[in-house]
Amino acid sequence: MAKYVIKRILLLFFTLFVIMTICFVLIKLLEPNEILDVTQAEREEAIRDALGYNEPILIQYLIYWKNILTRFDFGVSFQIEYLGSVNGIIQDRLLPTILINVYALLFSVPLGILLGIAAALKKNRWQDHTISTLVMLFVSVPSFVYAFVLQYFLGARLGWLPIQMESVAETGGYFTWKMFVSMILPVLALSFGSIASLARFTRAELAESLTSEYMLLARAKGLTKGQATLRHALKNAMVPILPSIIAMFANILSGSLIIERIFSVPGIGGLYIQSIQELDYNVFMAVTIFYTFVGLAANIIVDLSYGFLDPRIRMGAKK
Amino acid sequence: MKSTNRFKRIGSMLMAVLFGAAFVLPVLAACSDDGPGDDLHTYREYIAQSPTTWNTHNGTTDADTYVQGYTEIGLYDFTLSEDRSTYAFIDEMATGDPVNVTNKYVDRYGITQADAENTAYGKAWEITLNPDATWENGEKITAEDYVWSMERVLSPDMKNSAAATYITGDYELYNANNYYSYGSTEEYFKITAGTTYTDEQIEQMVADGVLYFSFNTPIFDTEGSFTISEHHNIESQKKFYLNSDGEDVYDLLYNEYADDANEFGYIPITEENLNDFKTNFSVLSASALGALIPDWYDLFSVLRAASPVFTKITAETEYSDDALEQMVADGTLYFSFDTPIFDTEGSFTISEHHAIESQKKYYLNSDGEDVYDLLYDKYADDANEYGYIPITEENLEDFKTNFSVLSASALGALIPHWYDLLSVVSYTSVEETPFSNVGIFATESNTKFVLVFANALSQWDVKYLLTENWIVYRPYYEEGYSQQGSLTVTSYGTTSGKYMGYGPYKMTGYQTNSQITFERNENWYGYKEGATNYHPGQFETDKIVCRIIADQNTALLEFEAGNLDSVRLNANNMEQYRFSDYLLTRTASNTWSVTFNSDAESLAEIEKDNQGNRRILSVDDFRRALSLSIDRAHIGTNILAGSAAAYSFINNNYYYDMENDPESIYRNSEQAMEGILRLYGIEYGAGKTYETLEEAYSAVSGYDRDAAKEAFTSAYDYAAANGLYTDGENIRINIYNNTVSTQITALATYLEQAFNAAAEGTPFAGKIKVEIRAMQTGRYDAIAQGRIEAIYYSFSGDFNDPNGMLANFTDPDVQTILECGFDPETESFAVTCDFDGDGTEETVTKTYTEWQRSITASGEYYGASQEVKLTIMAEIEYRLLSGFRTLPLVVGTDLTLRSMKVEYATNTSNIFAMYGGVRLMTYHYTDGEWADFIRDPGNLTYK
Repeated sequence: MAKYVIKRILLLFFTLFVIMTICFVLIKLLEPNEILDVTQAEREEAIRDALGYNEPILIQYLIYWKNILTRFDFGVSFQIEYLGSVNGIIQDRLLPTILINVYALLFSVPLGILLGIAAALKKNRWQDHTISTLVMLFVSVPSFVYAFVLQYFLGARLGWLPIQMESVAETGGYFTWKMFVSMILPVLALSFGSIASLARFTRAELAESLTSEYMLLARAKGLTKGQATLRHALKNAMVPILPSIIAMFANILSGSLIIERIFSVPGIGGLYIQSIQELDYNVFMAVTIFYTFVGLAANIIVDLSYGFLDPRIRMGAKK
Repeated sequence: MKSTNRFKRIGSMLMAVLFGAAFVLPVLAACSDDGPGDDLHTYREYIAQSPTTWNTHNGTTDADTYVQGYTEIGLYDFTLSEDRSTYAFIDEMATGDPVNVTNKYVDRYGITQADAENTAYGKAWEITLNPDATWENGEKITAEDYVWSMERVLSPDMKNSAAATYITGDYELYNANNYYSYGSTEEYFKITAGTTYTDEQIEQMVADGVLYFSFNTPIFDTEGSFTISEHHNIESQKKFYLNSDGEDVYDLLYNEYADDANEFGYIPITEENLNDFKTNFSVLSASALGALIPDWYDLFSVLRAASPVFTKITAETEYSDDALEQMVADGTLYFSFDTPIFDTEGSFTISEHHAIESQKKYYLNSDGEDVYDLLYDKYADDANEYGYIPITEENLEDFKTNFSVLSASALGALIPHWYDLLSVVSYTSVEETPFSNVGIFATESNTKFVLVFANALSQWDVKYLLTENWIVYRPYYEEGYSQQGSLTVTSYGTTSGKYMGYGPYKMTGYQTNSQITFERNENWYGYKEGATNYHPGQFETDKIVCRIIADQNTALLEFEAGNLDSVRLNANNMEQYRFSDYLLTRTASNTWSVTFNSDAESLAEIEKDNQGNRRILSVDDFRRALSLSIDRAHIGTNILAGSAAAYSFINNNYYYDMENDPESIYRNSEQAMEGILRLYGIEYGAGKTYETLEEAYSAVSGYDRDAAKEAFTSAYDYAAANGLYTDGENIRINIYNNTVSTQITALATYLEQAFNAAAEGTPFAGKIKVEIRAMQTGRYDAIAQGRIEAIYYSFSGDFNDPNGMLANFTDPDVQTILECGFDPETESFAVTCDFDGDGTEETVTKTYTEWQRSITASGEYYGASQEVKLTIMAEIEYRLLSGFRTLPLVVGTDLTLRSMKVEYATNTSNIFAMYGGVRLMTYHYTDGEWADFIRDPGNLTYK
């Protein structure tokens, strides 16, 4: 097991290096943004030259690595936050993103699982049909559609909730009641899709478990339907569901570009695209490294979680 | 069964909690909203993105200047006149008008006696500072702050964007460009015995790291010139310069230092190697050669690095042919046989190549001759003292011909451009200029400063320039210094703690991507009774809360809920708000248009994609037909709703003589109107359809299907006869934009319909296809270089400078010329006019560029009458428009809704003072009253 984990971690770093290298080369190959004003264009060229952007890409890459290895310095931003350290830019934007994602997860996981259980237990009855229809609806409709609908009706028309997320200056911090309330609409918009997909997944897994032979055996042994469902069916059904929930936790770090834009969440959602559009090389690379690392690490954790959840699954075991 | 019931109970409870929360939370939220409930006047607005830096030296985005609009103020400012009908200047950080002191500085700062005698314009202007102006911390602002801040603006190490205003154009400060450009990149001044540097100066230059030598630039001796590289490689030359041990001194040096050379072949001179040279040289000087080489630096090609002189041109530089031709015409392009060329086997110089037979195996032309040898034999004698040979039109053609032989071979991929064949460099000379020689200095009292411009300006121009300010708070500015590569940068103006304002408001809160808050700057003189430039009754706003809202829809919802006091509308919103009493419509200075590539050669290249004929766009009549097919009023009403139709480059917002006539709209001038009537062939006068010029001009629509049909027919005849179009061919026009939106797609659809409708009955009927393509970056270069056939974009200029707007099309030093197929620097036309006001008309012929420049501050007709200037501008515009390479479509329009809470000083925007701004804005409600008012949503009626 330890050997398997080490191997995966080494592979993680190798993959990270390859992706970094490719991304570094590709972003540097993009044409600089055009400036029609000749004086400003000359100035921009002089700045690019001064910043070393006209050096061969390999030299730039080596310097980039040198700065990371010797000073853990990922550089500064020039276009997004002038001279702001890229680490700081990511940190500042992560908190609101994490908050709305965590709230969304806390809301959607229990509700999604409960709805899935209810649908499975009432399979092919009106309750199941109702839940399944709603699930299909929410899975099919993109989240920004709910976002607009929620914003328009609950925010603008009824005035129950703020139309956009409040600023820290208005609320006194991220962990205040006023701030929480202003996050409800984006949280709901983010949750509906997760609730629907979890409900659908849970229903499918549980419905299959409920018809398994071990359930017949459990009932034959004298367990009530509830006991058999809770102790056997649900437990088995959770084997594929729990890793997907773990993966959802890994995703709390990633912002939703559209939801954050609609509700003015000062999160990380738009940072990636903005860094490409504005050719903010250092921000682009730092965000790439961050998300690649998170994604790869989450994959390892999910893979390992199978082994913990179900002892029958052995990682790295030889046949 | 029991367990199932328990599940039911748990599930029901959880559902109840969750859904209950959904209903309870809003109630709690409402309870927690305590509301402002006070007597303040808070203005709530939004911007679409966070500022990156509001350091006035570098802040370039709208968001950056937004901050400066509250926290900084000019020496003068624009406001509305008392009757609100026009603009007025108002003193702010200065007191009294700028004083023309040109006559005080004759023979200094480039000022001549003739400049001093010119009473209408002046080069030197003295500005007296407002004695009560302070930074927001209360510290007094002095003239030295202005001078020091300008030095920072122009710093060659910082490359600030604000420098552009002061180094080029009408407002160029004397010597500012030399100061700014000097030392910015590598420049090599050859140091010879004639340079007569003292030993101290040499030592200082060594200490500054600006001294280099090269093995690849020629050294002259009695037998001609040679490079050390050559010398090193060719044994037969090793007969001179032997030291007492019989060793070749150059060889010794070469072996020791050749590896230290930079990309240009130059080696920095350090204290260590300087001593070494002196030692080596002392051996020589003792010999008979001492007379030939009187100083150590004659031993090498020693050069001094300063600002851009030799900029190597490579494939990466990507100069367009036009740009290169321009450099050739300017005489700034050189090549050298002595700087290295890189090929697959390393680097070599042509001089070496020429000298070494063994290298003559590559680059053979079809006759088996070595191309480099041919070039060397032909041009080596033309080299100047630095080893560079000017590139002229004649030898350029020769290079291209020689190169074309290569490009046909396998080496074509290795040498994609003719200039890769040679070491081509551009050369510009910049004088070393200390800042003390730049045209800005403080007077002894430190309460006044003087600006000296390169061109003579009117007082109005100077005040206009000084509505913008450049001062920065030195302690914070310097505290924020850091080095990025070789660029010095400062973090000044990136957070509220690293910034010091001096305007009516100060920043009190800043959260990136969320909110900026401003409150009154209590130290501002404008609020202090008795202070200079006290402004009673103005700036009623106590606080400004600015949200960062990227989504316009969200902003509109917030506005409708009473949470914002203004919102920008887009064309889609116009259906709902077209008749709103709170709608403010302001035409902008920009004009949206389509520019076509009219160069047949490049269009033929594009055509290779087999999507359809493009060469037809090179036919003038075809483009004219396209223009006449378009109903611009229809576009403004139905497609880009809220926009006004545009029939010309310069729209109704440009004024030609604001100083003397605030109503001097260029478009309403006789000359400008005549130009448009000529363009569309509309006549007026007795017996004509229109009696007066104004009547005829107001009838211009630019839309005439019959005329378009005739033009299509004539275009077809020409194109068919010249092989530019074959019967039945589809014509494809891909118009590039940064993005493909619903509106732009609708525009393309309309254009296609309009073109084909007008072409009905001609061979082009149903053959024209128009499509919008997205190209995020690179489309401007692409159209300028003829790689695409059309773009959709907007162009603009300063409201008070219609001639400056024309520079977008005529002056490649101001802006990249997008009209591929048109060269404003070579195409010329004649203007007949009484230029010198002597009562007789003269006819003068100039190129487009020369005409446009002739009425700028440095031009020969700058001081001419407005009649002359209008005649020139109108002729340029007419000539440009009649090329139909750029078709103006609609004038950019800003649509704004203001809230019921506030009242602007006017609902009719002025080009300088807009709606009066925060200075004159008044309130119908205090914050508390407004909170009560919006509790009933029915009160807010904007539609």
